[in-house]
Amino acid sequence: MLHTRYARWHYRKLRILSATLAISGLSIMTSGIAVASQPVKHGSNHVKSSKSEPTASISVWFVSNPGPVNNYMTALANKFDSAHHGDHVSVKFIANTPFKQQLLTAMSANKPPTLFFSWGGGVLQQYIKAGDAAPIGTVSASWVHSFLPSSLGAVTFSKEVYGVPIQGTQPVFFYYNKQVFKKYHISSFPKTWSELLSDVAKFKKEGLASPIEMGNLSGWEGLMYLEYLTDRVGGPQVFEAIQSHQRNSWSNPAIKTALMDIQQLVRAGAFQSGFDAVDFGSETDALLYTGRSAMTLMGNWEVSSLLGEDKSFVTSNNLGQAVFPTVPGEKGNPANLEGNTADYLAMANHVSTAQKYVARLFLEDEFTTQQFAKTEVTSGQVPVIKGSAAYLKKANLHQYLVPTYNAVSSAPHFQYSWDQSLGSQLSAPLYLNLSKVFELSETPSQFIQAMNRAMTSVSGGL
Amino acid sequence: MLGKSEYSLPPSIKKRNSRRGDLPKKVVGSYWKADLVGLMPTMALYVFLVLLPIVIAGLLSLYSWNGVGSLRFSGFANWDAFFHDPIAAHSLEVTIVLALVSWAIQTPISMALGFFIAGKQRYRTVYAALYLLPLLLSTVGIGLVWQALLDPNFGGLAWLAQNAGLSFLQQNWLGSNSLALWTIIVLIAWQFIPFHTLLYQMGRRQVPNVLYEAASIDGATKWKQFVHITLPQLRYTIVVSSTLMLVGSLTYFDMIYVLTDGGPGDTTRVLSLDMYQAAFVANTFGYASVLAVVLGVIGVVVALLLVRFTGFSSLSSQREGIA
Repeated sequence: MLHTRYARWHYRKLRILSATLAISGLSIMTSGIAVASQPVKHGSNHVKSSKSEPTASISVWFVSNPGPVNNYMTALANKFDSAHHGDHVSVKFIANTPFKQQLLTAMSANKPPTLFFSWGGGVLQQYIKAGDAAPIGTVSASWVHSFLPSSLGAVTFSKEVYGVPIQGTQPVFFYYNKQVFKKYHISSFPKTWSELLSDVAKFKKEGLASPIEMGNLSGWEGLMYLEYLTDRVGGPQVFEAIQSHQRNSWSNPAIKTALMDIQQLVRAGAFQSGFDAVDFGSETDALLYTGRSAMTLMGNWEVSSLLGEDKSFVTSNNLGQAVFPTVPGEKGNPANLEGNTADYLAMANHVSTAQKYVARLFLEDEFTTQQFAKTEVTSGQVPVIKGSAAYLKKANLHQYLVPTYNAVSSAPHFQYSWDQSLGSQLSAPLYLNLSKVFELSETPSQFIQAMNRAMTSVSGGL
Repeated sequence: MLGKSEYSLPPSIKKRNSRRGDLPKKVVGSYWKADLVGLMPTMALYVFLVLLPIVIAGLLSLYSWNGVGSLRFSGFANWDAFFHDPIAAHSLEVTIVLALVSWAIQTPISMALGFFIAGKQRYRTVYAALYLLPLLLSTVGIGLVWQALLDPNFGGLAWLAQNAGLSFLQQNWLGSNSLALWTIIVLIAWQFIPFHTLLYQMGRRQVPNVLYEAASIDGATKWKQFVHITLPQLRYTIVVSSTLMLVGSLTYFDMIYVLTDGGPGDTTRVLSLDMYQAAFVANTFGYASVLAVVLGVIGVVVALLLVRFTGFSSLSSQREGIA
């Protein structure tokens, strides 16, 4: 259940270590001394299985995950090797931030891995535009139909599919401590935004200092509030306009309403002291399971994260999961979801035809099957492969997995995380300005002005 | 000119006889080659790792590049954006405040500690060892430890606030707009004062005691001795220490990155962090190069000014006339 945000948190320490190097890396990058990792070996020592089928060695770069994911990726590569004489798949696991930098370097040096991990969206689109990523198939390819339709949106560009899902879907929910709700006599999780505000006030009045916990150091946790509120107020088209870089699209009234709602929540004292100086992790989790906070808005990896922190809290069914409250009278559909639709493997363009052939074979053989769906469920994920519901019902933690799968299957719109959709150049000012909104040091109007300005300079080609 | 007899002449005469006033050409030539060979590896490293990147960063600042795809020449657009970028202006301001305040805090404390451990008091070395401890720790380690201590919910200071009655310690140290930068400045001081203490200790030990003895015979107070003997004698130590502090603070990055990542908002976003964000978060390498060049130029200018206005470049003796 790991994805960009979770991994980002988990590898913050590694990221910190690499950061100092990264600064000097700028000068190394600029001097063009590209340190490409492991060039792909062409050809093979093995005997070809058939003359018509090309054989090749391919390399696959994953973003490293703690837990079982690394293991089953390696196992899949070995399985493919033994089933296809003459082919070889070598896998490499790299921590989140170094991965992004290494991939960038390898791409610009024209020595990319054959397949590389991707979150889709704007970042992948950058590689496609630069001619560095190749399509894996068209939307009508047979393997495409084995996935839930909403899961391929982030990797589909001009009717070509550029990525195959390799990890489960990660929608965002509210997670809450049932015992805290009981203690403060709140019978159920709030259904509407105004109920949420009144519940926060009630918690505060009764002496709970921080009803909602959040770790907004990097800025993505606060972004989930903006994503949901914008969708609830104005519907998906608000962000669609932003994503297509329409001039002044941040000025949509829905954005302003959403930002005002956020500041209302902050002014009510909903979040813990120092929420902007800590990242998602064991400290924020501890607030929830020790009962110092009542709830948190988080991707569904929160379940596995809490399982690692305080197993009994989850297994004794104290953890509740609820959809984001509705904003009555507004345009958005209350069943819409926000989050990361899936994690993917994408294919590099500057590799040999034989390697592309073997890479497609590897993806189709190993990642589109019911067998793979079973493997994902075993490791606590919610697969985006059709027909996974049957396995989920029998799984541990099915009380979280089944509602997640149902929510994803029935969501009219699954909004892919804005930061990933927009790409790096816009998500940096987005994090910065939104964190100022959360700290009440910037008004909604100032935010809108700053983001319109940032978008103009990105569209201007800077 | 003088034939074989040249080699029998004493060096002073040789020098006088040589038309250019230096060693004979033959000898110079052979040294020159040896020097060149000896310097080659260092020069190559210096050219490839220092000079070339500087030149390329300058060139790259004229292009827009997201790290993939091709470079696109954009003239002075990045520079124009820099001069109209409120975030960069703010970062510059934060950087200057950080550098000046750090200097103002660290200099007197380092000096006082340096003089103390240069003295002859009992247990001096025990104290010295304690003062120097932060110098031995890695910055990232220090950052992570302080982050844990300063956490307002589970941190050590919050614990003291709740259990030892020290309620003023219950602060949002790193998450408050008014406190975060000052917290960082204090932590940087805590980390670097030991190093500057060492400098001042060495400086103080080299001041000849006869000066103080003579002054006290003439009836000079301790304060007068400090103003008229210690400070002038330590002039170059002060210049070295101040240059390191100011230029060091200009490029300071790691602990801020660990502790606040420039936050809350952009309260602690120094220019080096802004550069990192522009390069490796926003992937705008052209713009990041502008920031790198600006940072480099400011650093060089500050260092040159310090050297120029303190007479450090002339390297004259501070002890002329002292036996």
